[in-house]
Order: sequence, then structure tokens, then C-alpha cells
Amino acid sequence: MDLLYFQLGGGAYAIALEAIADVAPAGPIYPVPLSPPAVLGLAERRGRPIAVIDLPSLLDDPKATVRGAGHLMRLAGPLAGAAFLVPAAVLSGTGTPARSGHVSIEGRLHVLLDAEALVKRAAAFN
Amino acid sequence: MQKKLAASFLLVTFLCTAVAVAVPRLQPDPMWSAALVVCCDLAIGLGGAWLVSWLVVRRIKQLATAASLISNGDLTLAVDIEGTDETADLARSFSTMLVNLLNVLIEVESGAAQIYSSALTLSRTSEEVNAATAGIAEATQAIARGADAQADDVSRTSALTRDLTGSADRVAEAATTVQEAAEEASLRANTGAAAARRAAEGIVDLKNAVDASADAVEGFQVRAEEIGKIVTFIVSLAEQTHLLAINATIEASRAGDEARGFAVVAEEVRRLADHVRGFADQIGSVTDEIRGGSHVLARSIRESVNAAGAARDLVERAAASFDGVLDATRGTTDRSHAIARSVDEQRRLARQVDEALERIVRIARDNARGTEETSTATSGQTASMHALSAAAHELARTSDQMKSLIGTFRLRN
Amino acid sequence: MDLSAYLDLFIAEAREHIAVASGLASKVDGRDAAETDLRELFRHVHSIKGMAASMGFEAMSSLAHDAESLMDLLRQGQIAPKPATRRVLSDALACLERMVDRAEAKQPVDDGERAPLQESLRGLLHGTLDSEGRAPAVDPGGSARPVGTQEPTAPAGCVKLALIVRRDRAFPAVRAAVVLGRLGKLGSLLRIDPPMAALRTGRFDGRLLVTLLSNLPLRTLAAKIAALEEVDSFTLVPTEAPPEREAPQGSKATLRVKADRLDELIEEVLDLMTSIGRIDSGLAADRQGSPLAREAEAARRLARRAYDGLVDMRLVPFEVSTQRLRRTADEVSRKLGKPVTFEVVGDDVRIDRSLLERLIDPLVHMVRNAVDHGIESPDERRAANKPAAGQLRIAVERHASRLSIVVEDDGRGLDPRRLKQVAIERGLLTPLEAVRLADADALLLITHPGFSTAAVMSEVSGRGVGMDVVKHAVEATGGRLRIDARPGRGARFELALPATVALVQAYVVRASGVSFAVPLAALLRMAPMDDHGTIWRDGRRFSSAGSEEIPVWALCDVLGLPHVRPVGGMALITESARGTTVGIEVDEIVGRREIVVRPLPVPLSGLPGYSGAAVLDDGSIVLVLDPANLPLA
Repeated sequence: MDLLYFQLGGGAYAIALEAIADVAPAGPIYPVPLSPPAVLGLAERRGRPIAVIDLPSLLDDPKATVRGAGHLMRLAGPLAGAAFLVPAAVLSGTGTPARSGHVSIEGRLHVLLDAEALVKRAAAFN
Repeated sequence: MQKKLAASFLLVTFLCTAVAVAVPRLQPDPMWSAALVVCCDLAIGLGGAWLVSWLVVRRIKQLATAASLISNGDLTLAVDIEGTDETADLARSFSTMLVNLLNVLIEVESGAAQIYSSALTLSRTSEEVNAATAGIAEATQAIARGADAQADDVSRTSALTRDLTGSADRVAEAATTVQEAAEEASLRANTGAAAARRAAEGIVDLKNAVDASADAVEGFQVRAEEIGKIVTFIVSLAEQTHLLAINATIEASRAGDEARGFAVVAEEVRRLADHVRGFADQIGSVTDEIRGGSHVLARSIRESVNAAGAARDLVERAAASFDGVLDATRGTTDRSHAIARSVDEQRRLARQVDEALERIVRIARDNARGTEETSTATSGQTASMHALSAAAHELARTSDQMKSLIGTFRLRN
Repeated sequence: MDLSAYLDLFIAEAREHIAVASGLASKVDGRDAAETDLRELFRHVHSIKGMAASMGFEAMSSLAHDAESLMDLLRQGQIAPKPATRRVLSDALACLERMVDRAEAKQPVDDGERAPLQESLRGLLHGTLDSEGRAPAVDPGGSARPVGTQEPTAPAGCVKLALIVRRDRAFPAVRAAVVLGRLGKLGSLLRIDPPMAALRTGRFDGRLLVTLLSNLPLRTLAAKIAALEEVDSFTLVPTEAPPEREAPQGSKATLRVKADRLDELIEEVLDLMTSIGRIDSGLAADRQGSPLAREAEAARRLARRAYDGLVDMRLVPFEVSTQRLRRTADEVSRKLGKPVTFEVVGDDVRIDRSLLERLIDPLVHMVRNAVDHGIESPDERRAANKPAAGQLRIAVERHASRLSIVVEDDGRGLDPRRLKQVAIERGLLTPLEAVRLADADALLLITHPGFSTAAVMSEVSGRGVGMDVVKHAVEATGGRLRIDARPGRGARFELALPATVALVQAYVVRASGVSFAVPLAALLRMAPMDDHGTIWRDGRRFSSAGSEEIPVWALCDVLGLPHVRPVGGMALITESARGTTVGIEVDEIVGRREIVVRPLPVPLSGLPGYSGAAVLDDGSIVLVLDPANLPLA
């Protein structure tokens, strides 16, 4: 399967290419008061607002932080309008499914991210 | 009078004789005749005496009474004179004398009265003149006083202005002093600066020699930095290309089978971009090494440069401090020039004011003098008037005395 | 041939035909059954038949065929419409609609009702045959000529109309368009010269040539045209009707566009406007009035016109849903034996189609509930001195940028006390809370998800069936549901909706250093919160502007933002969710802007208090507030 993958904290993560609309450098993020903590705020993309989700905070890895500005990985399809904040170094490639929830890319295991589940978690207040 | 006396006398004698004769006849007692004769003679003598005295004294008493009255001042007595005897003559002369005296005194009295009245008039007139003069005098005095006051004010102002001018002068003086001091300091500083500069130049030569080698190294360093910049730019390009390739891959995956080829190309682009990035990173690290190496080299050169530089710095600092003093003094000089200028200006103005005031004072004083003269004139006038008045008073008093003196004599009934 | 690609198109088109046809069918037995309507109805049914056949839906096409035959006779005037006709046609169309739904869900299409319906259709058809013993001559291309001789009250038929429009007024082209609109109400405009497109550019020399097909008597027609204010003079001449085109389009050239495509186009034009806004603001910084700035301004205007035109295309009259609602009412009324008079007022009000789509199900729900649970049985009604037939009324009204749809009945209404009781029984309220709850709020209890359960359907709780869904659907559009009920006298449900969805006028405000936008439509007024305008009571602040004291909340406090300046900004007076007047205080008003409101993206879509976000000309993002739904403490 076609994937985008990157390193974050101590781990390697991948996400299905078809779930992504595009990747772009992160610009200013405007926080939304009273929004769930995993949602950093709104950013502008092609004249429209998109919601920026703090992906590292949803990964249960305390070392996972995006250094510098990072990139916004905008989601496609029904989740359009949401974007994950990811490190700048994103690669594309193919991988094969490995043990549950993982894919193997060039011999290395990556956690396969479920965009829908992550967005749902981001919308929760706990 | 004599006749009267003779007569009296004869009478007496007669009588006496008559008695002498008659008595013894009557009385034959010799004693009693003698007594009687004596008595009769006595009587007749007394009587005769009396008669004589009467005859004489009567007139003399009259004259005495008259004289007493006259001595009391009453000159109005009219003496009746009858007889032709000497006493009567005396009385008549006395009376004439009295009348003459009376006339004279009456004339004197009227003369005195006239004098008194004219003296009075004179006194009154002089008093009027006096009063008028006094009025003028007062007015002129007032003017004089005002003029004095003006003059005083002007004097005061003038004095103030002089003070001002004086103080301005003092300031100017002070400024000049400062200026002079500043100039002197400036001069000293210049000397010092010149010396420092000579020293600096010497060091500069040394430094230039060292700098040349340092520059060479620096030039090298600068080029290395330029390379570094280019590398950064390439890295940024590589990153953007990478992102572009990722997005192209995403798009390609959407487009379906036809885009497979495109996806492959995008992937190649991405790999290329990553390679470029890799190379750029290598260049970057090499450049960093060079920079690091050149840093070391530069550092050692610089150390020697620094030593010279430090020395030069010290000299520079000295020169700078001299310059600083120069500047300060220049500044001070400038300032004191400025002060002096402004003080001169002030002085000029003060002088103008002063002159103006002087003019005013002069005018005032002229005024005052004028009034004084008037005043003096009037006071002179007044003095004469006073004298006149005094004389008139004196006269009046004298005539008064005379009048009262004359008044002791009764000149009329 | 794989027809699946065309299925979507078929579904869309079939639905549209059915919708229009249903509307026309409801007038079939009315006094003003225009011939034009009958012919159009025929055409729609004919189209449905054709499409269904080509898609292979035999059942559908068969039913449509029978309906078409009936319509054919009707339009030719060979049979007269009867009350039964209307009913049967409506039912047939409803059945077709159900079949289309099934086709969309990829289920077997055929419907159980189809057979009896076709029987009835044929019955009506042959009923005519029987009484007159003639076979109907299906004349697809026949021109309209009524049976019988020409009478003074006979329809005018086709006339050629030459009009001179008054030129002494402003905008003659616009007035010509108005005249055409009015003529369109008198009949069908078959030909217009100059065409509408030319009129839109403003080119108009004052002369209009119109071919009109009307079934008003000639004299009436002439009188009505003469009465048109804009018309200076005209001539009216009967003429031959132009040959009919058999194409499904009809006499008006129309184009079928997928609604989604239109929406996409609108979104793209909005993006275009945003982009132009960015250019414009970038230019404004340099030189205003420069040729480039002027071009940008012109571009903005053009984009705005394109947007307006597209949005206009998205507007449909409420009428398109009237049928479905009427049918629902009829169905339930028949099933339960409760006669109901169903009335729709203001169904010519045009609504954004996507908005209508989102509301149609809630409205159907409410109609069903009203008839089922609201309106009493005839006996009960008689006992209550009410007319035997229940009254159900839907009123649609547009005020400026707000839209109001009211569903009203004269049934048994809602009793707040009973509602509270049920709520307590269901465990939704404690008795204490119930006591403290105001009556107006008690009425909203029926929208609570747990209020009505299918298991226990009392007449009270039944009213709440699906109401939570309704409430959510309404609020999702940015609207509010209001319930008014008088026990024993009826209930009134009002959907207060924002009419424009995307481009709004708003005030940009700042609070705590953050910018927000507040739509003009949501504002009643603004009041300064200076010393003069503020009243303190029990530690709470009130605005003393106007005649009433309005409680004011600081936006910073509501949103949990730090105060950056002491209180004393501007209060935005608005209406709260409960209908009371409240004030929201901000630090400053930046200015008025026209903004494109985009709904908050997915993880944030449920947040109360925001109706979306907008991108301003400088590229920054402001949250668009929904003042009525802010969580005020």
C-alpha cells in the first residue's frame, strides 16, 4: 500500500496515502477557545480554515514533539477540513502490512495510524 | 506876686504894730499887754503867713495839681490864671508850656496813628503777598518733589540697569574666563591628542601588517560563509521539492492508473531532492569544517591581532579621551562663545536701556531744576516778602508801643 | 451496459420530475387547473417513464406509463379531472418516489402499491372510455384546443403580444424583466424577444415581443396586461402555437446541473472572492486607486455577481417540498381516520436548496407528529367544540436574512406540567429541577433524546418522537427551534433559520487580543459599556442602553480568555437561545466586513457558540460567533 511515513519521538509512524489530501508547511495557527485540547486551532489553507490536530499528543509517547514549525498533513474525504501537525520530514513510499496495526516499510516497522479514530479522539475533551 | 507879698507883709506889719500899740493901751498890764501883744502878733503873723502862703501856695497848688495831673498823663487841664504876679506868670507859662506839650503830643499821636495804620496795611499786604508766594512755593515744591521722585525712580531704575549691566558684565566676564579656560584646555588636549595619534600611527603600521594576514584568512572565511548561505538555500529548495513530490504522489494516487507513471516520476523527483539535500548537507558540514579550521587559524592570527589591537585600543582610547576633552572643550568653548555673545548682546541692550534711562533722568532733573529755580525764585521772593513782612510787623509794633505810650497821656476830655 | 454511472443522474432527475409533477398534480382538481399545468404534468410523467425504461426499471416505467396515458387525456381535455384523479395521481407519484428511493439504496425497486395504483389509473382511463365508448386518441403533438366552441370565457390560447415598456423610468431593462415575470404568471412564455440574457446586460430598446400561451379568456388577459404599470402600450393577437418540442426540457430552455456541482462551483467562487480579497488588501497597502487596485476591485465585483447568480440558482421555492409534506399529512390522516385540513402559506418563498434538503425530513417528522399526536380524533374535537377537521398549517416567511418556517396545528397542544411529569418519570429531571423549570423551557423537553421512547407512546411523549433529531438538524443549519403550545388549543413549532449560509455581513471584534466575527443578522444593536452605560447589581453587570436593563457577559469570561484591558468595551446586544435579550461585551469593534463563513472543520464541528470560521482579506482567521448559543454562565 502507498503510505506517507515519518519519525516522531522514538517511534516511526505511517498513514495511508489515500487518507491524505496534501502536505504543506504549517503557517500561523489561530487557537479556538473552548476547543478540545488536542485541537491546536485553525490554520488557513487555500483560503479556507482547517483544524490543526496535535498528532504527537495523541500518540501516547511523551517524547513525541514536533520541533520547529512542522507540516500540516491535510486529511481527505469525509475528514476533509482536519489536518495533523507532523514533523517536516515526511516521506512517501510503499509498505506491507505487518503485525496488527503496523506496516513494514523498507524493513522497518511503522505504526499504522487510523485517521478517523485519531480525529474522533481529538474531538473529545478528555 | 511880690506885691502881694509885700502887701501881705505890710499888712502883717501893720497889724502887728497896730496891735502893739493898741493892746498896751487896752491893757495896761504889761504882762497881759505883752501876752496879748504877742498873741495878737502871733495871730496876725499866722494870719499873715497864712495869707501869704495862701497867696503863694494857692497858685503853686494849682500848678502842683496841674503838674500832678500832667504827670499822670492827663494833658487836658486848663489852668485858670488871674493875677499878674509872678505866680500868675508862672502859672501862665506853665499853662502855655502845657498847651504846647499837648499840641505836640496830639500831633505825635496822630502821626503814630498814621504810622500804625500804614504799618498795618503794609503788614496785611505783605501777608497777602506772602500767602501767594507761599502757594507758588508750595506748588513749585511739589513739582520739585515730583521731579525729585521721578529723578529718584529713574535713578533707581538707572541704578538697576547699571546693576544689570554690571551683572551682565560679570557674566560676560565669567564667560570669558570660562572661554579662556576652555581654550587653554583645548590647547592642552590638542597637544595630547597629537601625541596619542602619533603613537597610534605607529601601532597602526604594526596592526596593518598583522591585519593583512588576518584579512587573507577572513576573506577565506567570508567565502566559506557565502558557500554556507548557498548551501542553506539549496537545502530549502530541496525541502520544498520534497514536499512538492509528496503532494504530487498524493495527487497521483487519486488520479488512478493513468497517473501511475506520474507517481513514479514524482517519486524520482523526491529521491533526487533528498539526494540534493544529502549533498548539500555534506557540503555544509565540509564548509563548517573549513570554517571551523579557518576559525582556528583566524583565531590565532586574531589573537596576535588582538594584542596589537588591544594596544592600539588603549592608544585609541587615550586619543578618544583627548578627543573627548577636545569635544567637551570645543563644546564648552562653543558654549562660552555663545554665552559671551549673548552676554554682549545683553550688555548692549542694557546699555541702551541705561542710556534711555539716563535721558529720562536728565529730563527729570532738568524738570526738577527748572522747578527748583522757580521754587528758589519764589522762595527768594518769599524771603524778601518775609523780611518785608517782618519789617512791617516791627514797624507796627513800634508804632503800637508809641501809641500806647502816648495813650498814657490824657489828651482829650 | 453499465448503467451504474448514470444512476445518480437518473435519481436526481427523476426526483425533480416527481417533485414538480406532484406539485402540479395537487392542482389537478382545482378550479384553476391551467392547461399549461396539465401539459407540463404530462411531460414530466412522460420523462419519468422514458428514463425509468432506459435504466431498466420496468416497474417504474410501467406505472409511469399508465399515469402518462391518463395525463395525456387530461391535457387534451378529453376527460375532466375528478377529485379521485388528483388523489390517484398523487399516490402514483408517491409510489414512484418510493421506487426511486429504493433504486438509490440499490434495493429491489418494485413497490407493493404499484399494482392497485395502476388499476385505479386504468380505471380512470377506461372509465372515460366506457362512458363515451371511444378509444382515446393519443396525440402527442396535438396543439391545445379545448373541446367545444370558442366562448368569450374560453382560454385565449396562444397570443402574440407586442409591448412597449415605459422608458421614462429608471432601469427599463429591469422593468422589462419584471413585466416578463408578471406575464409568466398569466400563462406560459413560449418566446421572448429580446431574450432574457440580453435584458440582463441592460440592453433594451423598450419593445418586447412575447409569445404567450394562456388559458385566461382573451379579454381578461388584455385587461390584466393593461393593468401592468410598466406597460406603456401593447397589441394582442391570437396566433398559432409554435410546434411542441418533445424533448423533456419543455418550452423553457433549461439545463440540468448536478446540485453538488453547483455547490462546488459556489465554493470555488467563494475561494475566488477570498483570493481576490487577499490581492486587494495587499494592493491597498501600496497604492489605492492604482490601475491594478481598480482591476482587483472590478474582479471582486464580478466574482460577487457570479456568486450571487450561483446562489440564486440554488434557491428553490419551498413549494418543491410542499407535496411531500402534504402527502405525509394525507397518509397519516387517512390511516388514523382523522380528517385534516393541510395548508401551506408562503410556499413561493425561495430557500437555499441545501438548507431545504436538510430540513425536509425534520418537517416531515413534525407533520407526522402533528397529525398523529397533536390532532385529536373527530370525537374528541367535537367534544372540545372544535371543527371536525384538524387544521395543520405550514407558514414560510422570509425577513431580511432570516427565514422562518412554522408548523402549527390546532390540536391538543402541550401541557408543560404533563411534560415535566413525563420527564421525571423518565429520569430526565429531578422533581426539584422540574419545579424550577420555566414553562417555556419545559416545552423544549420534548426535544430531549430520552423523552420519547417507542415502547411507551403516550400522546404526550409521542409528540417528542424524533424531535431531538429535528432540533439537531435545525441547529446544524445555524437555526433554532422554538416551541409554543397552549394546552388544548394547539402547538406551534417555529424553525428560525439564517437564510444565507455563506456570505454574510459581520462585525469584526476583538476580545483579549483575539479577533472574532459576529454576523450582523445576529445583532440587535450595540451599546457602549462605559461608566454611563453600565449598571452593577449583585456583582453582575447590566447595560443600561435603551429602556431595559440587559445582562452583559464579557466574551473573555465566556470563552475563558484572559482580560487584557479593564472592562468598558462595547456590548453586542443579541438574543439568547431562550429568547431573552443578552449582551456580549468585547474590547473593541474593528469594523464591518463581508465574510465567507465556513463551517468549523470536523473535530470542532459540534462546538457551541461558533457558527464557523472565516478567512479575512489579510489571511488571518477569525472565529464567527453564534452569540445566541454561547455558553453563558
